[in-house]
Amino acid sequence: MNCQEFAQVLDEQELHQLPAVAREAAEAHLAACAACSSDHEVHQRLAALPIPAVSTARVAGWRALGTSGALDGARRQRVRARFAVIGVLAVMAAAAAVLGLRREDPPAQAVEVATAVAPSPVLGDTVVPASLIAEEVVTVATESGRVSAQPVQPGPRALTLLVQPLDYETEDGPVRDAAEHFYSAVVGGLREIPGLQIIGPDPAIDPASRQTDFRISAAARTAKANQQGVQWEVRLRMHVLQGDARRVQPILVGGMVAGEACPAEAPAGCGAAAMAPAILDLLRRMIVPADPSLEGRLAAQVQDAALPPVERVRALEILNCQRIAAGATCPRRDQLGADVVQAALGVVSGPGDPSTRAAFVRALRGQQHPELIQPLIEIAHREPVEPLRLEAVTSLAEDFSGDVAARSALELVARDDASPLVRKVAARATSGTAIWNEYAIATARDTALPVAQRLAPVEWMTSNKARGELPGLLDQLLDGAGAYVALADLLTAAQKESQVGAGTMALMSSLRDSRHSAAVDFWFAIFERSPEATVLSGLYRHRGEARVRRKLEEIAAAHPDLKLREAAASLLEQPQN
Amino acid sequence: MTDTTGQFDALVTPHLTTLYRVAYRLLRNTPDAHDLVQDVCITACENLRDLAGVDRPDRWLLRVLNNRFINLATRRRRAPFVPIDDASGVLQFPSLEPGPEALLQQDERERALQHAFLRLEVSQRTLLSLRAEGYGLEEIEVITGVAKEVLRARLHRARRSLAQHLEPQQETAPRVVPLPRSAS
Repeated sequence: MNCQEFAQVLDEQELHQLPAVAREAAEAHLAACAACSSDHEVHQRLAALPIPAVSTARVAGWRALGTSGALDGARRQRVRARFAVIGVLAVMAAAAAVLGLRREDPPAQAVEVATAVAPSPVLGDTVVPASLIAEEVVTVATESGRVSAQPVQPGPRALTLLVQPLDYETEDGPVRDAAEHFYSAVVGGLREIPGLQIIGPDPAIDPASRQTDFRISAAARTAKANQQGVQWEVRLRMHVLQGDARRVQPILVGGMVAGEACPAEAPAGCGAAAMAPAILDLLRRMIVPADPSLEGRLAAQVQDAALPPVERVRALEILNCQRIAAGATCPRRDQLGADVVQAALGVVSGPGDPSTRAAFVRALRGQQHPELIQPLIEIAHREPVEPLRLEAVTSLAEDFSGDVAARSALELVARDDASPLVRKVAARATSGTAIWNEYAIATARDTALPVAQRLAPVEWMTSNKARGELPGLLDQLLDGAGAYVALADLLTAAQKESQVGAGTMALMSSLRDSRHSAAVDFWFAIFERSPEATVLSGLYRHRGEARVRRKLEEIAAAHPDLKLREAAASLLEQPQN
Repeated sequence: MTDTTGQFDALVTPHLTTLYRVAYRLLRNTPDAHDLVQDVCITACENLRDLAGVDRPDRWLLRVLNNRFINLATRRRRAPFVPIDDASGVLQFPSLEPGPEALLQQDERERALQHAFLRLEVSQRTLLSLRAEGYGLEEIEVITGVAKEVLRARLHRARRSLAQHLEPQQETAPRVVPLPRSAS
């Protein structure tokens, strides 16, 4: 077989479909010809790329779109040509009035009203499958048989967010419930954002060509079932479609559905209600409109002493950390206006609740207004409540370590503060990270301390600029005979005592990526304590090591748990690094 | 209405999964693939009478899908849209750790292939996707309306192009420049 003959085979068939003689000839040619071998490999690798399964609900939605009869072909054509949106008389007026929905291209002529469909589920109280949201309500009736556009209310330009319906990639009822609960709460929260108009999808318009500022979509799936129960998972995708900043931000979120780890008071699935505010907070920061009038309103909220402190601090956080580009940190902190800073300082220096004052200090982080220095020093020296002192010292260390007065204050705190954590945070700014690492490691290894206290330095690092140094600290934590066992004990205890915070999660994540040889021992130790597929995933980066492969082969061959056998076999099948 | 339902079920519904698979191969992301298939469904619904007259509805549907994909790609070129699909952009929140499945999906080789694929020309992506889905050149000729021999050459170029994208960057060895001898 020559190259031309082989190419013909490759263009029409798969090698394994060939008769034996032809297959042998093809394989012989492959072995001898690097170019054809490369072509063959490209074809095979492309064919092997995974394709996520399409849910039956999604297929049903497509079918419903084509067979519902709500719109026949000709009517679709007309609707599409005019970019009109079909509405429902009974719910149109109310929905449009409540939601303040807006159309971009009012139809000049009458449009036939479609058969009744449910009111907008995403925009309402619940989230339902795509098939039920196919016809969105964005118009109001003016007279029988005729519709016209809801006039846009005058005022500052509103930004639009297109909310796509929740997509189900699972048939599991409780998982769907939890995901719906979560997504509904998120969309409900987004609706509260001033200056942001929520609109629904339109089957006649390609979402990618829809003129909106943002688009959010979500897919619900069952993450996995382990000893604690079933986990729900929602994959959110926030499309930012403004100007040059076009991007997609994927966000993965989930929690337990049922089992021992799920508190009884969680009505729609454990974690769903608790997760929504955190994600909402993130989304709010991502999509705060750059509209100056909105920024003005937020600034006014910060300054409005009549508002509850929680609302004022939230407005301050949003103002101070706009547009998250990627990751959970704040990339852009424009300097706030003096009036906003003064208003926040009023709370920080006032006699109020220490936790509120601490929240304001944290929300001001990144601001380098000189007038902040003295109040922060005052708190660092005199405040009896440790968390507030810690926030003030962190701000002095991160934002003002070049200032002479701030540096002297940090030196004093490093020497005299009653709290070891506060002392070391100050010392970290004045004397470097070596002392800090020593302290963090010694604290983590100190079995006489409560678990939360042992993990406090890691938690502090995770929520501050030091987060990037966590992998380095981890390597030191793993150094030394038996160090991995101590770490496994600590993290297991944290899980048992429900002390798994963001820092612990970040540490676990670093342990997955760590190339330290003891990281494998750590995961083996964890697997002994808690034999779960999730734990096996910690060995992913190390799957090329002989001892890891032996362990995986053992599990794949003989473990009584089918899921573990499958997970181990799956890891073994992956190409080695 | 019943007629429409029956026709759609007979002509389109059996091919929805295939359409999705090809759409996903072309776009490499689920929401866009869903949107593309939805668009094909609408077009099919508008043209059920035409569709009923063709021998192979799947090829007709794939042709529509390909045309829609080309339109989409053209629009995106005009308004570049940067997908951030790699794992580094995914924010993980507490209470859920990525399981083995998620981690396997992050496989670096796979990701490199995916990224290289997305850098190919639109027509090359179509060819490679249909071929990867098991369609031979004769079928692809019907779907794309391009002559088989032209397709063969394009397919060959597409594979070579992808292989080139996948080649690891060669590190250039530092150049050694001899110092001039001192004239002592």
